[in-house]
Amino acid sequence: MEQNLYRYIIKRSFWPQLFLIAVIFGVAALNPFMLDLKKRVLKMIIALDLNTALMLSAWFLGAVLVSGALKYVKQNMEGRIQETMLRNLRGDLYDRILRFPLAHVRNTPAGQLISMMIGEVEDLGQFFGEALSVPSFHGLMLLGSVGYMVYLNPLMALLALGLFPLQIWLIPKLQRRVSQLARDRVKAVRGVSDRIQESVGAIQEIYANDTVAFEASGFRSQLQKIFQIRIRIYNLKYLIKWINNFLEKLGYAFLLIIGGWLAITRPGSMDVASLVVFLEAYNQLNEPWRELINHFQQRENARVKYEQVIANFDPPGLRPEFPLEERVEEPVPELAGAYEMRAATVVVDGRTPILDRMQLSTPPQQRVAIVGSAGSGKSTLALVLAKLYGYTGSVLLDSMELAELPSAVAGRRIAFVGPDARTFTGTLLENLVYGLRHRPASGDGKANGGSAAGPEEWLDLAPLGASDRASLTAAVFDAARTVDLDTDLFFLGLRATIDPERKPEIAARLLTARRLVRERFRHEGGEAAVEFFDRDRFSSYASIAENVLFGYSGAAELSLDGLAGHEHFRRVIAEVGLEETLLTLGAAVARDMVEIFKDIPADHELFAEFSLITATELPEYARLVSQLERTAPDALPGEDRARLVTLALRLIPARHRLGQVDDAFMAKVVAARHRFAESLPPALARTFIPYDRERYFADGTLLDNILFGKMLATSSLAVKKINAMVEEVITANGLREVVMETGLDYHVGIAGSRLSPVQRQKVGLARALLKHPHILILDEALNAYESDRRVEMHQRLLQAMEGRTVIAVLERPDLAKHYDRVVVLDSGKVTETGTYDELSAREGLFHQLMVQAT
Amino acid sequence: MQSLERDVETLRNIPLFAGLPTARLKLIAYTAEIVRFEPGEVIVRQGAPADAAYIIVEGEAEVWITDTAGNNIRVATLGAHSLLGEVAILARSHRTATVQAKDPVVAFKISANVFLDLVRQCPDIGMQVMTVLAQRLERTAALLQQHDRR
Repeated sequence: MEQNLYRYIIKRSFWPQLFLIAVIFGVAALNPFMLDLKKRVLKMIIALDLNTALMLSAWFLGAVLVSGALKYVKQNMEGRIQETMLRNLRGDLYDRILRFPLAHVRNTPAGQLISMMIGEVEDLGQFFGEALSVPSFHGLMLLGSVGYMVYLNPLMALLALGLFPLQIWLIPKLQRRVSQLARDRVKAVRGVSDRIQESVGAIQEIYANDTVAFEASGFRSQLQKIFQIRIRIYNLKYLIKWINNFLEKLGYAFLLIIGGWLAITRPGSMDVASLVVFLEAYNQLNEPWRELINHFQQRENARVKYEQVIANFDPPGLRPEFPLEERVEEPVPELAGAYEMRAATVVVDGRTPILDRMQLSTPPQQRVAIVGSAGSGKSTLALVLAKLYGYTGSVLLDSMELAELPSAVAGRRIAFVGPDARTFTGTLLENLVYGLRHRPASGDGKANGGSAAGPEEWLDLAPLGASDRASLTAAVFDAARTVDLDTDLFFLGLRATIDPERKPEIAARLLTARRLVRERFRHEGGEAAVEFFDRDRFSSYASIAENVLFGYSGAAELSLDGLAGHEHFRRVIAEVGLEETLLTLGAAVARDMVEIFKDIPADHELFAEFSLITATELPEYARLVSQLERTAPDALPGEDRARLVTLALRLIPARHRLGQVDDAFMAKVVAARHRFAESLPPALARTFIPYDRERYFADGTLLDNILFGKMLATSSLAVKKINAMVEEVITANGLREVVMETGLDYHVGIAGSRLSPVQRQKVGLARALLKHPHILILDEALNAYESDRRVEMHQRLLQAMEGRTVIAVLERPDLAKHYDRVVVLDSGKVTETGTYDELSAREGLFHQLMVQAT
Repeated sequence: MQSLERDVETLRNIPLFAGLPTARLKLIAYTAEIVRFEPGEVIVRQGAPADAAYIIVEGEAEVWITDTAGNNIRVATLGAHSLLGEVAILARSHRTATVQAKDPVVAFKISANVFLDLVRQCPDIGMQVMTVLAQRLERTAALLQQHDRR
């Protein structure tokens, strides 16, 4: 990246800047012309020549219009350059982050990069827009005015400018003094805040030693210091202002006296109109003058800031330019996976070797287990072999130096799974296909400027041998089954919804499942764990809204948040006397929600997962709650009442356990339910479908639909029994994959927070398998699985990778039994290699590790 | 129902949470799930991944450890107000012991995310958890000593 700020600006915005300067030339050139027109108009007025004066005024007006239009273009252009440069700079910096060497990323706090990329760069943006335009615009304006003054009367121009050298010398000097004081002030204020913190922390000591007076006087002297600095800043600031004004006005006074004298005594060399315009030109010098001084001060700050930011984004060992730029050769070369390490070394902190002149050679298509104690360098070895970590010495992969293997080939052919595979914010499917996100089908994918290619296009199905969505799904399921993710997909899918109108056949089959499940309940019991929908009974595990509606409609006004304002709904709750109850309930819920969530950061997962009000609604409800302390709920304005009712309607009594939901309340809700369905207005009657044992309801989850009720979440054994029963029925009906497919759309939360650690690990493994790598490298990648499942999982992975290379850092030495070769590491060196049987028979390090593990 | 209020009171009686402000207790109670276990039912199983911590509200549960030889050893009995399952969450590892309900057990299930957040955001809870863990360690060490002497 360009080290010099101006060179960067010119490199990234040469043409726009050129255009901008051309416009500025136009504005600046118009200025003396306009001054001259003014002079001529004045002359004509003095000469009492109305016609010419009018005509010249019209010219002047035209010039004003043109100049205004040019200024409009100039300002927009500045804004445009500013924003374009900001976008480009952030893009450039982000590209750099993606190219950081792994070791550097681990030592750099993300917060630091974020604050640089978001905050500090923002200040630079403004400077980008002004960098060339401000000095050229104000410089030219200054030149224009001065030039015109010289043209009018060189002698007077010289006089007028005579005082400027004094200002040029004096003002920046004083200004620098002010900046220095400002810096001192910041330091002094920091000292005061430290002092306060210290005093609060050490208050016990202060009392015990009776040093209250001492501390108080010390604190006052610090305050006094700040006070003095500030006073000096004021003094200097106003002194500068005073000197500036004085010098300006002094010049003005000189010009008045001399110009007046000239106009009276020698009208030939200076007339009144010229004098007036001359004075105006003199006045026009002020603004550009001030702007220029200001600009040159800011330029220094911008330069320093730019260099600091750039330095932070330029670590040694940056990975090569973007693979985006580099065309991948087709077909992507195959890798056999024969590694040959010769004196490969990795050093941290410049001294400690993690891999110490390591010698290792593994034949192609082998399954290699790596074992060693903590600190033996096994994780680093895995990273090096996956081309994720730099090294010195030599590492050959299929006789080619690994460092020279193109990233595009490594990324497609080598899969790496570490102990905590990262999940990205998005759906499960998006996470699973992440390893296939290569080279969009159209365009070059460079998201610089125009629109970026959509995620759908960033999908390379070739390694799967798949061509369409269906075969992709099949491949995803295969990978999911291998790593045991299929059950998770199934149960996540059960808790999702589908649209029965788009998938009528699936809805019909789910209804069959509903009947079968009911049969099973009749024979096997277990109803106690389900709350079946019953038109005459309140359901504690459904929201109040669901309870009142007891049905659904595609119409938007019956959506949860529109319901409180719906006319028919309002009439119904008023008629059965539910409105007041809902208001009271809403008020209670609002109070609890505000109390619980007021200190939770807005982007926290807790909000999305648990809160009945969103982070954006919180301030509104906080206001409402404080208002409720003075006003009764039913005395609130209509909008606020609707808010409370909406909140009450979101409540699921058994789950949220908020508010007073008693028998009387439930009876009223059931009454409202009947009333609502019986007195439907005709428009609604067409779309509204009440819950019915024989119909699929779109607003419920698959599980709700299969049970025709809600599962009680309190009894875990019963829940397990029902889950097993539902799973059996669904599988027997061939619906398992349908449910799993629904599970693929499950949103994993921010960085996968809605998944458990094992689920995240499963996703990481399935993602690796899905790209059909030629080399799979694992670093304790199964450590979240239950201990007794690991043997089987290793076997399954090895089977899935049959005929290809697997190199696995093992979490337990006994697992090595399933691998072709075992490599034992100690202190960054290979101490033993051989088959499991060979090493077990020998009294070496492997034997020791085995003994330690048991 | 207003059962949240009652749950908050229950939590307040647990030493670990005693010093917490009401808003925090409400957050815990609100995000916790109430789960019931029948006698003999396994609450957490040794070696299983950890997804939640539990606080026993009612009933007793027994803690079993399976050693490498496959013997089951009962190491403790937990009564009402006991916290269990926090070790594996904090260590991000697997369950270190099996806990089985002895009577019908009612417990608060606090998801790992909420629990970790709590420890992170409230130094008081973090400190309390450390104390509980340290005491447990001390007790285990004492048990081991007894065991050796025998």
